[in-house]
Amino acid sequence: MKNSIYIIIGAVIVVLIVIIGSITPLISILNPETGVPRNTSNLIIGNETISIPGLQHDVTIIQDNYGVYHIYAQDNHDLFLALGFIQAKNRLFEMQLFKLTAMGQLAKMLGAGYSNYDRFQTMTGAPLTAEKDWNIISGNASVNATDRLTYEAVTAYSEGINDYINYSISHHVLPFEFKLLGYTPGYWSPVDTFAVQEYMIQTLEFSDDPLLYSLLFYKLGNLTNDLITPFSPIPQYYYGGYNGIPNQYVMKMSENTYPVNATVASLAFSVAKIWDPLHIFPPNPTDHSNEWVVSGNRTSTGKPILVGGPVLGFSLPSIWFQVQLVDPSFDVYGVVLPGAPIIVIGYNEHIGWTLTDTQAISWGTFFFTQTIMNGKYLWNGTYYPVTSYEINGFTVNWTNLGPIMATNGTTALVMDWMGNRFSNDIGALLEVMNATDWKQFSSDLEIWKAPYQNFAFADVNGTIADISPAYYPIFSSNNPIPYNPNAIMPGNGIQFIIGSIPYSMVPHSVNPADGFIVSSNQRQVGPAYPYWFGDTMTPSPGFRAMLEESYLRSHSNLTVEDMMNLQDHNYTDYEAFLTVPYILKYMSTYSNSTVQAGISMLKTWNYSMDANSRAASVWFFTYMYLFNEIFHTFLKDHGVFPEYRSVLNVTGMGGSFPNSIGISSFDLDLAYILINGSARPFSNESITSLIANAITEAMNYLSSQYPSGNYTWGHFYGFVFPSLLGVSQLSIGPLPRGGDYNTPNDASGVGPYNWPSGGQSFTMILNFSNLSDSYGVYPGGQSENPASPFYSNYVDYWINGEYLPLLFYPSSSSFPKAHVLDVTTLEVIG
Amino acid sequence: MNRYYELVLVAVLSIVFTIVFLISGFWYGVIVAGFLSTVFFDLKPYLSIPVSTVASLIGLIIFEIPEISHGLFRLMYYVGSIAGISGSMLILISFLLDMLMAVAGAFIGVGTYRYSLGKRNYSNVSKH
Repeated sequence: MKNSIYIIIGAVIVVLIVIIGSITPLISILNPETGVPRNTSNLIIGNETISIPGLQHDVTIIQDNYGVYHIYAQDNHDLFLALGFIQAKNRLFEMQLFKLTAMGQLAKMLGAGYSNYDRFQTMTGAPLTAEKDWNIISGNASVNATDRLTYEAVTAYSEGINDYINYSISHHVLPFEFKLLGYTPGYWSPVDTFAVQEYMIQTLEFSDDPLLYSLLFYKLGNLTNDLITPFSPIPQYYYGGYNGIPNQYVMKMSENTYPVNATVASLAFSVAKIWDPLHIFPPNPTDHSNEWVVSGNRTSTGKPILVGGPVLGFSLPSIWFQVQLVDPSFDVYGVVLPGAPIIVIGYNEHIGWTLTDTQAISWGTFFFTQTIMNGKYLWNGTYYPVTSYEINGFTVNWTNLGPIMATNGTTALVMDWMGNRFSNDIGALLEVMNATDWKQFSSDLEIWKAPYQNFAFADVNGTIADISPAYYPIFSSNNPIPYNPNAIMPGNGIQFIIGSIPYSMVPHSVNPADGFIVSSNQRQVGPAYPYWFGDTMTPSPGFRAMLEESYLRSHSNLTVEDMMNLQDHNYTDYEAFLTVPYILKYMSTYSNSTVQAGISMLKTWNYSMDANSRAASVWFFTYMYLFNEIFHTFLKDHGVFPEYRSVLNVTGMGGSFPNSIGISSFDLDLAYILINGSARPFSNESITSLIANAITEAMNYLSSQYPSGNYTWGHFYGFVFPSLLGVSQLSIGPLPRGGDYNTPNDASGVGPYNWPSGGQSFTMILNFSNLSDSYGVYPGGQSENPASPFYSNYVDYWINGEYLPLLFYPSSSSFPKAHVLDVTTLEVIG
Repeated sequence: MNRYYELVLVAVLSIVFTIVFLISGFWYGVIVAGFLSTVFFDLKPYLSIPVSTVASLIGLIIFEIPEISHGLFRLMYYVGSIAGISGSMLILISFLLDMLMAVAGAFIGVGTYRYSLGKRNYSNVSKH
């Protein structure tokens, strides 16, 4: 018995250990060989050779000393397979998160708490459309060259991701997030890549604005036309032209809103409330991207310079992954998305391109009321059966117009979202990646349907251009003038999409006489454009475009450094530039000391939102209080508030106050009010009284926040880079920086603590006199492993407005050794 | 055998078996390492059990030297921040778990040796 006591004690401890291993994940997570500690092997910087199945030839991957991967392969199959492998090696968790988000399957990995998100995502049709897109492309691959290229690229890319999943499982290096969650990632399918395409369309072109418009119209009636004007009330820069007398048909169409009844209004409100029910990733700050291209006659070198700064929500890891892809067909450099084998923004040895969102035509999201009875929908007097799909365990019902978003009795609200139409964007960009001139580039984009994007273009031969290709719908109606498509429309066959604006007529500009093109989310075409192209609700109010246009028009012999300064160091708020002189004029005789303290600062201000400027803070808060004073009072007086405040809490400058939204029309209205000196019909108060109150509130607020008087703008504005999982220790910021909603390096207050968590997601400047003298940086890093030196190494460059050189060498042998960090050789097995 | 050499052998076996089982990915195997390092030696339990346990911990540390040099502490800090616990605590827990496994195996090893010795002695007595 005395001896057995040792065995008994040992056995008890073993039982204890087994219990710990069963009820906690500690033993599997901390296992030194298979658990999280093993993930340190992914932090090793050094050359390695990995044998992977499916390769036809060896592939050389050089990581340059900035962390960018340069993939040199001998054919397309190996190139895209290697891209899938190396991207998964750095970003597998992010890619899976994107895939599950897009497919409406987040609950699988993150738990049942995400089922509401999955339900909404499934209801939108995105997972269904992803599968349909892939089936169409697979079916056409034998007869259509673009579809064949897409098929080959996407299948090889998927193979590469799956090779890495197998490799990481066998080497116990699955990203530690999976180990913590106890989740093994599923294999990548080509459908997942199209789901990522759908997700990006949702990120960029998916909105409940028509529902909000109808709610406003329900309360305000025709006053809505004063609030959301069809065209900008102040002069704008339209890159696509048509700046003339408003087209009367289009004007009447915008003002002919379908009057919804109480049932439809309640449906609209219910859908608006569940819109974007959960922010998995930081919300996308809209209205903000910048792009411009300057022709050789305005540059110091005689060749074009192209500048891109697409705004997206920030995250660590970033949405972008920077690569150069080289094989006999491709030699292209740029950034790819998690899960899509395409350079979205970049250049080859002939051409370069960048993108901004058009924000035109209601973000491509339209709503109809339709009668549903006994599982059938009404169309032109006849009932047809609703089509039901079982997806992700949810039932989704579709009419001929799209998914049914909500019903009440026989009344249904149906969504016709352009993202649910077939579009091979991946194929279009694969073709663009090896285009050599404008003719080929514009021809490749003809199949692009959604999201609605502006593509700025330049080439080494000196051509500059911009084009906004997409499926822009044309509406047919029983009414002589169709109803406003930026509001709920009558279904049942009364109004519907009959076709789209012909490609030859989509907004574009090639080698304009001005010698530059700016396309920074402002409306692309002027009031004389013959097609309905949306109203002022969705495009940016255009102040950034005005600043950029004004700068480019007044400068010549432009250099890359000039472009860097304009993109990242010019904090001029052009709305302030336009309106502050009027504020000073109205208030010149106002004697209140608090007001005069604010006015005296504005008098000497240069309109620059510098981090160390106090006047910038006075302007911003005066603007915001003035905005609220005029519009919130107006909305309260007409019953919009409080009933719809949860979905219509509008604040100025794109929604730069916490828990609010931005509507561009309101910002344009306010500028117009200030310039014209009257707030009618929104307020009967005098402009002097309104401004005095706003300045007083602003000064009181600033003094309360900083009694010492040190309320410089840097205390209120800067950037946050949140981790994908929202963990503060894995996030960076807030980091103070100059700028605001109206400056090129802009973002509105959509982040935690009201700090912007979005901005120019990849600043790129291409110099076509010498492409080796090109620059770019995204705020983040190539690795998703927070312990890696490449997790967030670009953030400091970005926040300081600095750039990194883009190293572009056509072969691995020509790559300078001084720039090589390490080399990975992917080897054919056997 | 000299008791000192026996203790050295216990330590060496514990380190070697610990590393072998860690490489296999079967962490529970450290229990077996503790058992195998103690079951063959006629040593006082208060000597062999601590030696085997500490040696197993040394085996774990040797195994983790490359991981430590590649950034284990940094990585565990971030993992810990997601899990809501400090990274150092996670590393400490992993050491404790390893020691717990080794000590369990050592107890069983010592007990088994002494139990079998007792049986041999009993059997010898009965023959006489």
